[in-house]
Amino acid sequence: MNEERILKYLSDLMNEAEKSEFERELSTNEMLRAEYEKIKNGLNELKFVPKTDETYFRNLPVNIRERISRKKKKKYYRTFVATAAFTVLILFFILPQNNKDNSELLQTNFDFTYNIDQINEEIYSNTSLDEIAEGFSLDRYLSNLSKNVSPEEVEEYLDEEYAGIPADLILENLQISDTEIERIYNELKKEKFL
Amino acid sequence: MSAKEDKELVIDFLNGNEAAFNLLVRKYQNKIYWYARRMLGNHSDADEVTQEVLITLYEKLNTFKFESSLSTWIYKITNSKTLNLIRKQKVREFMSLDKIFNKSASDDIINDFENAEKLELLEKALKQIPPKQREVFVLRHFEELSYNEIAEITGKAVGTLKANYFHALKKITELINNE
Repeated sequence: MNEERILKYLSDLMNEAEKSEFERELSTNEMLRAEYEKIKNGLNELKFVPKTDETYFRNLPVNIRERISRKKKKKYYRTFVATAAFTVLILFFILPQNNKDNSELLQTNFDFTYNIDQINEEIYSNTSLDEIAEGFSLDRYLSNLSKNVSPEEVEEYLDEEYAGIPADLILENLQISDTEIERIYNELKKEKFL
Repeated sequence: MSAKEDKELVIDFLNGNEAAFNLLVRKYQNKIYWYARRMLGNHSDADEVTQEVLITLYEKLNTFKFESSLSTWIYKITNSKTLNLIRKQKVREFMSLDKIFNKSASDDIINDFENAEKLELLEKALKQIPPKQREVFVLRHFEELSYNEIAEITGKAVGTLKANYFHALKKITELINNE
């Protein structure tokens, strides 16, 4: 009984009258005071901050810079590939209208394709599973869930789609937006999977 | 350090002074890490969130309008990234068909034994509280923020936060008594 009141007081859940009454009792009732102190001290003891390896915090800004620069590089590659692909497409449609020689056109396309492949290779070697995870279909996954499929069927679906790449690894590399995560989480809760 | 100094650092950074960003990192990295750590219960996840928050800070500081304090804004980002990681982990656990991931303690950054043990017990206890109660408990009890500040960070009504805090206190007290 006392504990409930003490916790209400500490949570600021009492109205003004209850609060004044509790504070008055606290100054006169020794048992209540002892119980209050015990709870408060127990909670305060949780407020310790352990000593940590200082190198972790010292290196953090450097690690952040490295990640930011990797991210920028990846973004640059993506933009470059998209621009190159777009240019190839434009050349393909424009050049014949300008009566360019067909062999010249083929050569241009070949050069661009070659460069794009090179860049693609570099992207894959830099980004591991990121690109694979981008192909993951959340809607298909969720629609499977709502059909009350068994865990084995979910596994089978993931195996078919991702040729044995563990599901948790896919999800780890999946670039899902916060809203989508919330949607999946709520969906799984609704279906009582979580 | 005052809010004005935060503002100066942000403006310096936005004007191209990269060293100002390092000062902001140095100022907030511990707060971010320990909030994430208490919410997530292990170093590896807390590290992931800390790095993501700092990267977001780097990329989005130009959108910060000083309508709240920088500290509140950083807590808001940290809280949202932490809750998303918790959700993601739950979904991942489900997708991995009940495989439970125990993060290894070998890469932990805690280097005093006595407190490492205490921290482990605390993290165990915190994990038993639902995330909604845990967030208000950590923000109020450890970060010592007011309900109004927590409401700004979490977007929840003060009344709801008080009730969540009460339930969290009840469970934590129970767990302390059982230790």
